[in-house]
Amino acid sequence: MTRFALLYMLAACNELYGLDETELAPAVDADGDSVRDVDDNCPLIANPSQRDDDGDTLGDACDNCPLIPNTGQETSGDDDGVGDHCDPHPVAAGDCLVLLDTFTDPDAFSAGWQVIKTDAANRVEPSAGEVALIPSPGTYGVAIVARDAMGALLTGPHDVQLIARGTIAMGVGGAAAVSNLSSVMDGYRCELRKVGTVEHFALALQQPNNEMSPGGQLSGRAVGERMVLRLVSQSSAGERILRCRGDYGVAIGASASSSPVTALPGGSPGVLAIYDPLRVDAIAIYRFAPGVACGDPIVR
Amino acid sequence: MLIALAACQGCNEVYALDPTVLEDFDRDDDTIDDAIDNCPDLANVDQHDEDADAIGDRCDNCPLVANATQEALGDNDAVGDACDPRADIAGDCLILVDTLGDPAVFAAHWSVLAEPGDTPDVRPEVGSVAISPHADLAVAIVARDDTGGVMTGTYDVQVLAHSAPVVTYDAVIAAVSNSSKPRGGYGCSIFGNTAELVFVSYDGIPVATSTMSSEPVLDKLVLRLTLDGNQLGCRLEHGIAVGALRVAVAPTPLTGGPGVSVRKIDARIDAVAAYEPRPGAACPEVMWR
Repeated sequence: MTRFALLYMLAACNELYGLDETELAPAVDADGDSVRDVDDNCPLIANPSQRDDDGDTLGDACDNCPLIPNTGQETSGDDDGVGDHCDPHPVAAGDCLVLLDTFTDPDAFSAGWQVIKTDAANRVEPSAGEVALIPSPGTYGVAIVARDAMGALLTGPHDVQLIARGTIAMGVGGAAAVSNLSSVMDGYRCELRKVGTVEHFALALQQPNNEMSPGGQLSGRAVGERMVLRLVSQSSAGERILRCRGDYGVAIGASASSSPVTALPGGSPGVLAIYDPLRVDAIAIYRFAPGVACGDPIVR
Repeated sequence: MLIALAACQGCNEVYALDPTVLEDFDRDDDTIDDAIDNCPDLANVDQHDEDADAIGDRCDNCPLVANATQEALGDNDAVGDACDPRADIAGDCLILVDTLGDPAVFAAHWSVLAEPGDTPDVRPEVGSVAISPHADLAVAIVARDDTGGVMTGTYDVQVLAHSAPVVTYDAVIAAVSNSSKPRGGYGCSIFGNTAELVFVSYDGIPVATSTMSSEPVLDKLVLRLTLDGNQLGCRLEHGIAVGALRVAVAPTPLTGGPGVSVRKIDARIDAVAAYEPRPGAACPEVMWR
């Protein structure tokens, strides 16, 4: 068919299929991220990767809970910009997303994270979309803690949420969301570990006193290897209560420290792998500061 | 029309389409265009999606627990991982789903269990049933089968409910199994006191409790009771607050049905699902209500 005939046919074809004449115009892409709006999981904020860590069909860049599925985006609890489903303090306004890292660029990893190890043989291996924390056999653990946009460590208590994958072996191995961590033995943590014949998880514990709060016993069976850990290190009343919530496959549980814990000097938020390898897909770090405006979060 | 069909050949060529362009756009003939049908291959004209995961209940391998990705990695049975009572053992069957859409059929589908002398306040509405217990008295509803008899036996029960915050002393909302009286059977409860508690009870007697760790914010409750060998498993979400518990019980067979029990608090029950392990056997047809 000649070009002329094709163009001639188009008008008739549009009529036949009930299309607008402008149907063959370039597709609409409001944020210019090369993903058409109709296909874009975040049409007004450029996100060419279309990354959606929690699979709730809202791209991370648009999602008020990027790591926790919340298709409805509810914020009825305190209307502070962090969605109810992931809000560290859901009935107290003042939570701010500080950092969201989905580890897309392995070359940028060392600028964004500091590695803390017990042994030189422990490895941290970033790749596109994840970072693997690999404690060497016989050593204790390896952690990564977050730097800000200038390369300085974030310090002080933060609330940490992470998605990771791994198989927690019986015994002392575990995976933990951490805050105020300055060595792998020193900080707040929300830890998933396996004890006895059932997974025992949610040990919120404070080091260096090694004071361990009661753990929450998981009620369901674990399936798959994907886990979601959430650490909150301050109650909305201002006391420093450690709270821990974990999902591991379909198993889920939660616990809290029974009494306030003391503030630790310094230390940074991040993730810790103890004995067993852990692959981390994404971390979100929040700060609770009522009355203080939120800055732009670091997204990388 | 003939002209249009003849023109189509040329149009298909223009748009580089397959010649079969006039395909069926409503495969299940439920009058909902496939492009917007949340269950395009099973007729569901009401498009009901109780868990709001964009997959209609009739297509959803977890109709009451949001799982947009429909994973069934654990055991690859027809029940999705996110709601599977025994996620690593194949053979779970969905037996009953009731989203309480039609108040006119409530009495045919549910038996109301009351304490002696009580006439309980149970009000079926469109999409839920409201239960307002009197004083300290408990009320339960247990499911009937398709012949109208009360279901008996051991089921895994999942419940969606709404209530005010459950903080009143002794207030209880529970998913129950084997229940033949309002406080009887196995239960997975949210229990109001000074803190949110989850407990698992056996024939009215609490056997274990667990404190929930975070503050509730939404009024939506999700309760899940699983009976796994001699293990009672209880999982509960209340807004974003969450708790879970597992406890060993003597495997005493009880007679009674699956359902919901309420005491000392007004509750609205939105949906109930019942599952049963039938490893090695085919699943019966689901009772969709």
